[in-house]
Amino acid sequence: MSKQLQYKLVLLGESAVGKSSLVLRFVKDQFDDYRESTIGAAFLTQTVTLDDGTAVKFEIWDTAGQERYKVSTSLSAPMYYRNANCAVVVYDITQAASLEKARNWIRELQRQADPSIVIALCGNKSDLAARRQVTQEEAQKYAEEEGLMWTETSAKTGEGVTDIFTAIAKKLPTTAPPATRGGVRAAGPAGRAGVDLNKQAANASGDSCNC
Amino acid sequence: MPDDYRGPPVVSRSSIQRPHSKSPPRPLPPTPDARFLTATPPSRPTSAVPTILPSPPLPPEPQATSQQHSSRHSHHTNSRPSSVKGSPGRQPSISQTTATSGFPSPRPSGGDASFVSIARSEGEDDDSFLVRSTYAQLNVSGVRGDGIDEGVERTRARIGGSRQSEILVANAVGDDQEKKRDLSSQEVQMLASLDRYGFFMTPSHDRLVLLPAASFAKSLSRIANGTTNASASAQTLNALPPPPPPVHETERMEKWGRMLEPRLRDYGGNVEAWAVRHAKAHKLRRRVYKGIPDRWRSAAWAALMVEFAKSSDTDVRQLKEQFMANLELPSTFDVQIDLDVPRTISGHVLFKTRYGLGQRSLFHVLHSFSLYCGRCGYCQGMGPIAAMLLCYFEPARAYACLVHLHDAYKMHNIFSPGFPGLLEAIFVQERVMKEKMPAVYAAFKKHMVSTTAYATKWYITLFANTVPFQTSLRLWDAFLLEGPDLFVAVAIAVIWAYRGKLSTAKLIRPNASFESVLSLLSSLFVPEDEDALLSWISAFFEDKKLRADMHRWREEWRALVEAGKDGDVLL
Repeated sequence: MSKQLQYKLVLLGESAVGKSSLVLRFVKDQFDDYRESTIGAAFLTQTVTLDDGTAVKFEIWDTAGQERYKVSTSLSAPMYYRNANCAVVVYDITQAASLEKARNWIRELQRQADPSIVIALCGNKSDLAARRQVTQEEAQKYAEEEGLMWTETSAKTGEGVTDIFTAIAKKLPTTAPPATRGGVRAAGPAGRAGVDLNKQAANASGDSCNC
Repeated sequence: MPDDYRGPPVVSRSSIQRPHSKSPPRPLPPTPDARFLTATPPSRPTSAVPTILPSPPLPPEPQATSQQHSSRHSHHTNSRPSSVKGSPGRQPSISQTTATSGFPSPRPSGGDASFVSIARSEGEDDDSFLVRSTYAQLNVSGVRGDGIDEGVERTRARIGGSRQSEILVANAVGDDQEKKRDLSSQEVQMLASLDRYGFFMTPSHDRLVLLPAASFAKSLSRIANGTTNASASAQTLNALPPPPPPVHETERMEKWGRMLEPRLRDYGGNVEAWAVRHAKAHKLRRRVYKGIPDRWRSAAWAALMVEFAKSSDTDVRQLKEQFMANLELPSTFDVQIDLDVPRTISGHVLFKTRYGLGQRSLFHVLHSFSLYCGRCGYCQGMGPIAAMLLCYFEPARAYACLVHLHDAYKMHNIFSPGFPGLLEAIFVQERVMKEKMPAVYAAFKKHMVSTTAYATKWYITLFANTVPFQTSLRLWDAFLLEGPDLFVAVAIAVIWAYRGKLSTAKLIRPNASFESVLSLLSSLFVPEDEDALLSWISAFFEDKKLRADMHRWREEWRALVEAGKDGDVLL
């Protein structure tokens, strides 16, 4: 049986850049022109199967974009990026200011999150390239300097969406250290890598009962 | 002149209603505001085309002035009212579109109807000014195909860049013909497909689950052991079922007609406010829990709020004036509000068209409200609440209602930075869970399911997009009567309905329980039987000991916060 790994992924970025739309495209392959704003955070899961048959399951925390939710103590982003194995920081290619916000998030992650966190910078709304305010060169150069993954996506057309999640899955370590618990208030240290679900299942099967 | 004439007319264009026929034998349901969809009367088929045409032209009236602005709660100091470019000295001519707008800018007579500019306020940045002036301008001209077309974006994406987009934008502005033309058969068909609450389509949701009626057969009581056979699994639905037809609606409308009486009339004799007849007051609670007939909802909600807030008619009038005055002030939240307006219940006919009447009203209500409280400003989550109010009230009144929710219903604590009221509600919810469903509480603790992870949106939006629209209406009926504890009761009801599943979630594999619990609680909950849910909630509120405990727990939480010991208390 091939390996199954589980990782915690957090989406960060300014309001209305398309975080929830990216997740909706990735998880359900759907798109709403006007997706309601996320209050607090939303939780979803999706699995990507790699070429070698490894199944990588993402436990996705889609966060609210408004600053109000960022500064709140109990709902703050650190609650969500703590223990995260990977982060997708999203900006809107038609809004220059949203890249500035993305840079702030990246600085914060580099300072506060687990050092091994895999960060992807994602320029969304590539279908609106006619109204582009952020050039590919500028974003790519910044990503290279900071050692981040980078791509442009369109949640609307689906372009690049699966690719970015697959690329993240490939970049994440494939060894299976002790389990990281999924809870937002998880107590333990951040997991360097994913959880091998098969091994865990084998361990757990002895004391679990399906009746 | 009616006997209960109470002084001069309110300086609010939007409060003027068309007169009723003289001396009705008994109070009629309030005249439905033609701009807003109300339930079709029972005698008509529900597929009747709702009218979204504006009221007939109204006489000119004095302009709202900033002196009327009550600064009781406004913390805005650094701004001055903007002036409206127009033709000074000339009587403003009120167009059909402005007659319905609730927005005080007069249309310059004789000039280009689409050119209305408000002056920029000191310190207002380009983007904010663009947003505010765009809504103001379109409020005068209207937009083409309001309620039917998607409309054209002007503020999120700057106009310009291409000739084509300029043409699109220019063509989307309403003209004099727009409101007079006949609807095409396609448009009629589209409007006929609306449900009784005005929805074209229901917002997509990742997961729909049924709240089984059977789970509400037993009222809340302590269940020590997790292994009940109640609703061991959640039944998922593929699509949202259509709203159930109202039960006994004609009969209930008549009962409400006998229970409510006019309390305040405007100078034209139209009822401006209703109150519950003293002799019938004992029937109010039971009837609210049965569901307020939609025809009466606007009148009943206003009466319940005024009663709960102990607010006077003068307060309401002042708030309406404050709403108008705030429209002339800049708000630092305008850009964020504009981002959120088009994505707030966009499946509803009133809010569908970009910059259409509903979106403009929503923008204006949220804009004004963002200036009401210096601590709250604007917070995502206010949108669905304001939109709900706009389905039943004109903008100035919706603003006054938001103020009541903020002050009397303690939404101030929910919206304030750090969301203290949210954490308080969560604390109370967790204590109720611990007391009544210890197995569920233990399971959540074990699997580290933090209540903030799923309930934040419940409390901040008052369960908008968490239950179907018509269920929200029923919950609001009870909420406006009972107050803030109502949504703690709803949260407990949801957990109660799935207690079997939530407490027996097994560690089949790591994270599986955590995942299944959170996915379930992030769903949209479709009650199999709304009456069963409401009866259960009603019984919850009749449990005096529980209510006393909840009161105590709220105080306990505040003491913990005061002492700085609230850090590790919550799940």
